[in-house]
Amino acid sequence: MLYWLTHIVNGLSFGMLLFVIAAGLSLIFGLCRIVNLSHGSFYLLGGYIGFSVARFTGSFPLAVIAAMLSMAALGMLTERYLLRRFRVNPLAQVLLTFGLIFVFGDLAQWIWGGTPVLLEKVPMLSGATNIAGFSYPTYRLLILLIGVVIVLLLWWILARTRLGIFIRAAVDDGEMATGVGIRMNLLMTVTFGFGTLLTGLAGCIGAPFLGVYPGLDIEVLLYAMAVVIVGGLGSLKGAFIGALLVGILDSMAKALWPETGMFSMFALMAIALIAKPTGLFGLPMAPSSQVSVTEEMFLDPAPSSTSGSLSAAKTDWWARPAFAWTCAACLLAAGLVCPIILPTYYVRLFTLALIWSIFAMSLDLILGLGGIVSLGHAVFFGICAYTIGLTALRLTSSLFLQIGSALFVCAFAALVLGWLLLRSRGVYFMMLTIAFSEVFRAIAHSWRSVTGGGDGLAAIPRPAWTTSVETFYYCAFLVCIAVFVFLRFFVKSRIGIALVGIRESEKRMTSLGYNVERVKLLSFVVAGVLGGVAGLLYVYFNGYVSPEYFSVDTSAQAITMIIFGGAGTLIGPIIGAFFVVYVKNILSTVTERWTLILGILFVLMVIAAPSGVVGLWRKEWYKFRKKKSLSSE
Amino acid sequence: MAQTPILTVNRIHTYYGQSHILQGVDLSLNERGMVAVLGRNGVGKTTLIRSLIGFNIPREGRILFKGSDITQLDPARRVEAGLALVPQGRRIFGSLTVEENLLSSARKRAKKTVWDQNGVFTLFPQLRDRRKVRASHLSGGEQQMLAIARALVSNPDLLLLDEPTEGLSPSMVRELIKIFSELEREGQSLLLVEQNLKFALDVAEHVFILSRGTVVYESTALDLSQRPDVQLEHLGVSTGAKELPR
Repeated sequence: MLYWLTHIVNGLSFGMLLFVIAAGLSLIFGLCRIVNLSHGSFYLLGGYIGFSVARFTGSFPLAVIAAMLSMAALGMLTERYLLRRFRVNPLAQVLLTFGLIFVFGDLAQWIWGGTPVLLEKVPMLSGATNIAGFSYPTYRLLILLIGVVIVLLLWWILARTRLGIFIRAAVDDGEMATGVGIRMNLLMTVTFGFGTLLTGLAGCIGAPFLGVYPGLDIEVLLYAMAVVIVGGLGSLKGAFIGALLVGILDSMAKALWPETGMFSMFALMAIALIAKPTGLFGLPMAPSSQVSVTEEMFLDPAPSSTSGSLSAAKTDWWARPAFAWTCAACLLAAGLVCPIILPTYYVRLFTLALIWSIFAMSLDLILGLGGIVSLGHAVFFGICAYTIGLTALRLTSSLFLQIGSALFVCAFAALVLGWLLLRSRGVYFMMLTIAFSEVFRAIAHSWRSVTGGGDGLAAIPRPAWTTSVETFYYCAFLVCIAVFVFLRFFVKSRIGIALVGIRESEKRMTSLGYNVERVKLLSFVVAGVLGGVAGLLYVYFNGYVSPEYFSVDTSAQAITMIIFGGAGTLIGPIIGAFFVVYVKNILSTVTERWTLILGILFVLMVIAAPSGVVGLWRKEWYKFRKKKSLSSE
Repeated sequence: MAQTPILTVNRIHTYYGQSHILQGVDLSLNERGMVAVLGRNGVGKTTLIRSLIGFNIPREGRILFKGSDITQLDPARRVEAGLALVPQGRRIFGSLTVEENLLSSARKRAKKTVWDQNGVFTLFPQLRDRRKVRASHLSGGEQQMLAIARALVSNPDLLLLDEPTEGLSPSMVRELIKIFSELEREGQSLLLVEQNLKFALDVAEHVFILSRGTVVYESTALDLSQRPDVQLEHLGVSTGAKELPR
């Protein structure tokens, strides 16, 4: 009895901490209509700053204040100088906050190092308190108290003050709010800062019992997203109830099944999704809150090169199809001869780039073409990799059976996940994809008996031919071309065309009689399986599997490649993959701060060239041809 | 005309993306009284209002309000300067109570504060009874009253009205005529954008007609009421009060 009571109170205090985090996330969403994916990073930084201040001054209250104020300032700066310029493009905003995860996370690791730090609490609070014969740590009771205070404070601000009226009016109808004289820009900056202030507070008061360590940012983000997925975004009540549910369930499940406790999070989100895709108390998804797909960001996969008034330039040699074929043939030839002329080191590097090309292309099928922005595509990479690892280690040495079972498991997972996740849209979908990939990573991490835990599966037996660098290169090369050709056909098929139509307007496609759900699900499964193919090659290439395959890093790298190359095209992700793999390789010899640079690159790409290299190329190309056709007239 | 205009719109061009909606609109409003801008569906009436309040910033042209250039200001600043909007479709804040809706926009001005909560409750007694009710639970007519009240409590120098009669019952429309006439008598300046010709002629002193993004006709309301030919040509309707002079 006492055992359970302890776990319930533990869950309650953890839930209160989650509430403080999720309330900020929800508040920001309600007003700014974006999900701040870097919310966990603000938590992490708050914890670290609290730790440093406490160590320097020896005062815990001072640490809390410093964490709150610094995070509020950082949040306001982020909103003012990064997010505000993309008010009309919520997708760019969410991607920016996604990129910031890596920037903040790696900066923190740079400053505070990779080992966990533990914030020491005030001696007065480190004891236990007796309540009705039940002894309980004082500090955890304090967290409960702080949670209750913040619930009341938030309720009071929202319900009883003029600021609250402004916020609620702006949540109802942002444009009209400016039309009655509410200064939205200021209100958004302040609200964003208040949201990050709350997270910074949580980071600091949570530090004494959770610790502060690299990777905590993503973990916290996962919990916060689970809370809002269950409770609903934009609602204080939802954040409160969701936080308590997640908090209690999590501490119960971890006590009952230490290895697979993470499954409970998975189950909870799945149930919430099936019951109500916008959470228990969530705001209805207004059109403005959907991730709007902007022309600027997504390119036409195969623009008709001879369209309209530009056809005057058609007679030029570089505009003929023969030129394009010659280019393709040259690339093909270069690809074929490169293992013969290049040193082994580069052949391995190119193999890696080819594998990443496959992965990035598969993601681009749903992201760029379908406008279905998945931030958790790594799930399929990881699932396939683990299936290969497990079957190879434990079941069979037959390559055919290994690959067959991996693809089957991957397709099945894609079908189930697609069926579940595609019920949601826009930001909910983005959150869910991150959340599910992180749940998989956490399970791979903790289910030691099957997945090998944090060490992953090593020494996976591989067929002899895969150890030859050249042979493996040709194998990857062939698969990459096969995937490219397949996708080319897929894009031009009825389903591919319907998919682009859905990206532009789902409603219109529905009223035209398309089975939108089925087209999306089918594309999701195809993308998943092809992503799995990349994972499969990667395992044979490396010979080991680790939980990091599932991580958002993996997905983020693929998205960076896509954005760099140009979303919505097939050649874009390949260009991006070669670029990112090559740059990563060069940088890794110079610095360890690859993640930071990836994050900065990601943010810069979103800001400066959201349509990527291919987009820039096409823009210049059209300009050039227009000039040509004008001068020839 | 000795009076300085309260609002001058100088050849503004407003776009929605690629579509060129307002193509050089010129308008001038004197202080006091109501001016109506009439026009069929899709000629840019609402776009005009949206350009005036700042929801859409014109790409070319200037808007002068009380002598100062407000073309590039954001809506909140324009409200601060003395504009207020009763938007198309009311757009009251549904999750706020009646009282809170009024609090969202209430502001005092140095020189005159005529409208406070009590004042608008006197004008719209129904709202006083429902002050604690969520605005989304009000009837359409009550929501329209609330939208007008919400604009009034900011004590604007110029009140912009975008099709306030849309979707209202005839008795409610008669009520609005009474209210607007009262506001005019008190010296409030109003700019009305309307499709409902009869209503506009009843309440406005001066009218403009907008067609395909430009002003094509301007006269007093009285003059327009005697020009069925103009009414037919630009509005496709006619009050039919007078026969065509032959």
